[in-house]
Amino acid sequence: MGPVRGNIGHIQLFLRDYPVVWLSLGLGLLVVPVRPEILSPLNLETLALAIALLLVLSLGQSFVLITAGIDLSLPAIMSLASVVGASYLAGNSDLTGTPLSILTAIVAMLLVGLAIGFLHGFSVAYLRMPAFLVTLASLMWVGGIAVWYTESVRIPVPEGFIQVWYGRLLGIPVPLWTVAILAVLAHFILSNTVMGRRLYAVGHGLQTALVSGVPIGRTIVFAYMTSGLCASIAAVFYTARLHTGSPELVENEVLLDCIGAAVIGGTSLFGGKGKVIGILMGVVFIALVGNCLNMLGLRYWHVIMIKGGVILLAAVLDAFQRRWSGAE
Amino acid sequence: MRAARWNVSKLGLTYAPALLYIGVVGTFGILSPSFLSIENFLNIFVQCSAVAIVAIGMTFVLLTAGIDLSVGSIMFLCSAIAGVSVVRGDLPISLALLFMVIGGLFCGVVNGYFIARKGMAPFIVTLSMLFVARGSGLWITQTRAMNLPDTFRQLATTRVLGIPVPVLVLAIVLITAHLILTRTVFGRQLYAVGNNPVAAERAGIDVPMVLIAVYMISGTCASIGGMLTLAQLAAVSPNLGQGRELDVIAAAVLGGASLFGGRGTAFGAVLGAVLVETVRNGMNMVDANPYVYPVIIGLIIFAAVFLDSNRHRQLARLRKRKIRTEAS
Amino acid sequence: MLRNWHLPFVVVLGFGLLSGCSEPSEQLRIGVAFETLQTEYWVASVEAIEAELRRRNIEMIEAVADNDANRQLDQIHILIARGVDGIIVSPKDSMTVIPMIKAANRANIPIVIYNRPPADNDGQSVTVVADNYEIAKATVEYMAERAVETGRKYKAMILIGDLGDINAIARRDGFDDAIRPFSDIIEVVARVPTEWSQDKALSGVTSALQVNPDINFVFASTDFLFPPLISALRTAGKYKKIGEEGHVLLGGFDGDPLAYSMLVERYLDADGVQDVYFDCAASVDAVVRMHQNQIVESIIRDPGFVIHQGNLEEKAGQMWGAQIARSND
Repeated sequence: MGPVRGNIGHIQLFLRDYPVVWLSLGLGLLVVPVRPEILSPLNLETLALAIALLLVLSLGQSFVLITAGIDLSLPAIMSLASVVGASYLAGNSDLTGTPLSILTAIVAMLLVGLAIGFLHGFSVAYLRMPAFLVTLASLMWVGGIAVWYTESVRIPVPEGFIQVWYGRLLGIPVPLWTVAILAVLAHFILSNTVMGRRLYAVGHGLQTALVSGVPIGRTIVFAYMTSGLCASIAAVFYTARLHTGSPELVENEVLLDCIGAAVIGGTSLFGGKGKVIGILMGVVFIALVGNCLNMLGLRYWHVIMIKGGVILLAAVLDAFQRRWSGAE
Repeated sequence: MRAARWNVSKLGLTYAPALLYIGVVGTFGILSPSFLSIENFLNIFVQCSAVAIVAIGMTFVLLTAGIDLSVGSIMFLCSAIAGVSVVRGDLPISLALLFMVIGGLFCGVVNGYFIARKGMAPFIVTLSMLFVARGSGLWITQTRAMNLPDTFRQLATTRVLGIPVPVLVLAIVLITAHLILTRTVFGRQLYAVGNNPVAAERAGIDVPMVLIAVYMISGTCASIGGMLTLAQLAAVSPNLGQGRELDVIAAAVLGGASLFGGRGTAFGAVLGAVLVETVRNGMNMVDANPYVYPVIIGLIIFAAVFLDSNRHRQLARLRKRKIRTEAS
Repeated sequence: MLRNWHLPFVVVLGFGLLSGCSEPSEQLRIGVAFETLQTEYWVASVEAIEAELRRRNIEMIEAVADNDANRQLDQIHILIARGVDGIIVSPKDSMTVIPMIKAANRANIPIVIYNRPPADNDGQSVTVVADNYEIAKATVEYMAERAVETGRKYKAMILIGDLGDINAIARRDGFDDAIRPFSDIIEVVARVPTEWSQDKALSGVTSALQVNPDINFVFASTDFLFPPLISALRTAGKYKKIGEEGHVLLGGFDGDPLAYSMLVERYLDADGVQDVYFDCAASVDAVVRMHQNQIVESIIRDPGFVIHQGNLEEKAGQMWGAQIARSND
């Protein structure tokens, strides 16, 4: 990083590093006069919650992306975790809805993600299998197990569990607190711990990482377990939010959204690059685009086309910015 | 004695994927005798022809360390163009097929332009194209499903010398792609760009032109894949090709292509597609519980990747033992 | 344009007061949120709703969730934030619609569930749904009677929808209950789960026909799956008109344009029809009456009907697919 230039300098740097902020602001300003309701508290809350959901997934994904890996299995982990948690709650009729059973269900869901994440990390790090295919295979078989187990039948969840999403603390929805804590934690891990440095080192190149004594295997396993854990947390939220344990909670498209958000926020698919603040900006952008387009109430196909166009615009801006700062 | 064992293990490792394939075929052959009929193998080739052809195009992109997420949407957009021109415009089918190829080429050029000339990440550019192409397709069809005249379907059922047309098309594309990759200057340039773009640039290769060309090839292959899908279904539905990009990338990578560039062959891509389709077909033949399909297919992909990645390591180790001077 | 800049602040301040009573604007606004537009049935539904709303001089705000329940819930929240006067939603399944009902209830906005009934819940909503079970049962009974007339034995196949969708289950149950009395001559040999996807249907049916080449009785849980079904039957040389040697008894559900033309060309024996025009008019009517604080019964059932070779002339006027097919010609 360059020398400290005070607050204004920081802001300038920030805006220069993340042109997507400009784009988000521009998009918001464009829509506000047409649809002032976008600033209503109700919509801002909807937007904040959409950001929170996508951010959880993008954070987990970015840990893997930083190590030059990729995790395509997130939707499948979410499906399996959702089904496991909901059927556990549905099965324990005497415990249904008690805080203990809810806690156990959540722990079980998190364990699903950790276990599958471990399997991925182990396969990539120790069996030297390509991450793309390992996690793509999981997208099929883990998701397949969730569908097979339920035969696509949806499972209701008790009222107590739903509070994980709908509960409020100091007037602010619980998930916003949870995700804020997770983001701060992720930022701390990436920028202030040995593990963070190791993640970046692995992403920069295995040879150099090996030479500098990074325990490559453990680092990669950590990244995939983090990603699995984040997918499980997202599964807890989705399940509570939709009142439903289901193997089809999300479309696989959410993958493109979360990887796209990370990449727009400056994370590289080739590893070694990515910061929480950038990822947050990317997530805000993707969520805002979705919100604005829905607000405008355009036809379905126009929504999809504009979404594509705006993502391209973000990338063009980024390319310009790089060229400009390179010329400077 | 020692040398003999060495030879056996080397032989086994070299042909591990082939052995896996023979194992799969053998298992299903024992379980269901009708699986082994020539007719059924033709069936397998017909059903995977679309994915196989698109996977060949994808291999070109992967060789340059790029990725093309838009192929599924391009398949849909091209099919929609054909559907509209035949059903609404009453144009002859030959013209519709021409429009499809032009559509695929055009999408490829746009992808290639932004990636090569603006230096933008292929993931983001093709992600935008994924949305824009699907949105455009939905726009021109107004999201309506369209049923095509029967002549379209005859493309899939007509046989030349006993071989169904889709298999012939696949063979032609495969041989052309193979010759381009192995016998032309362009093919050598591709591998060079994938292995080291900077060195390729220095060696006088017009890297941007090569990049534009590979996305054009990928787009064209996607449009041909769209044709074959259309010929089999004789209908354009709004979710045609949705999520196909993952199947296609899986086929290419199963066939030995690397997401980090420089590795991959046209034959490999086809083998990858055939392997997956064989498993699916075999499970159909033995009347397996349909919910188990994705689980088994996922696990077999996992097994194939496991065998393949270990093979490379073991082979390298064996070779090292024999020829100590060989550099990696 | 500049005048509009102060609007956000007015709205932010005034928003809390707005719920309950509608804005004093002259025109009602209804949000229409569909989970998918992937089949003719859904497209025809949205268009029929739009036409009915236009007839009543009501503005329609459309949102399509592209198969994603979470996105649909977001869209419902956004419709509420836009202050619509009512919502018509066609949900992905019977469970994920419950938080949508609750959200609308909290905002005191009437909500009508189109086509897919919600599971038991304590929210307030009106459901407009075709009697999937009865229509499917009547359709298959008609097919079974035709089978009896031939005096031959039959092997049956059913294309099942997404089992998370109550309607898919109702249609399957209707099929099973209609077949049961005829179990001496009709044996069900294949159940192909399609999850409402043409791709899955094509590979499932192709293989089923390879394992059981003598299948000669097929019921598709939706007309949307006819193209792959026809394709597979043709490949197997089994797509024949009624009366031709080797005709496969065919039945479908929905009443779309393709089904109509198959009836006219005498390939299709019977089709269960959901009365889209009735359903859509009833949905709009219900949401408007709820907005006026009238009491509306919580389930409005569309009895539907079976169209078959015997009543084609008489019933075609009521079949939505027939009207679209005729207007295309």
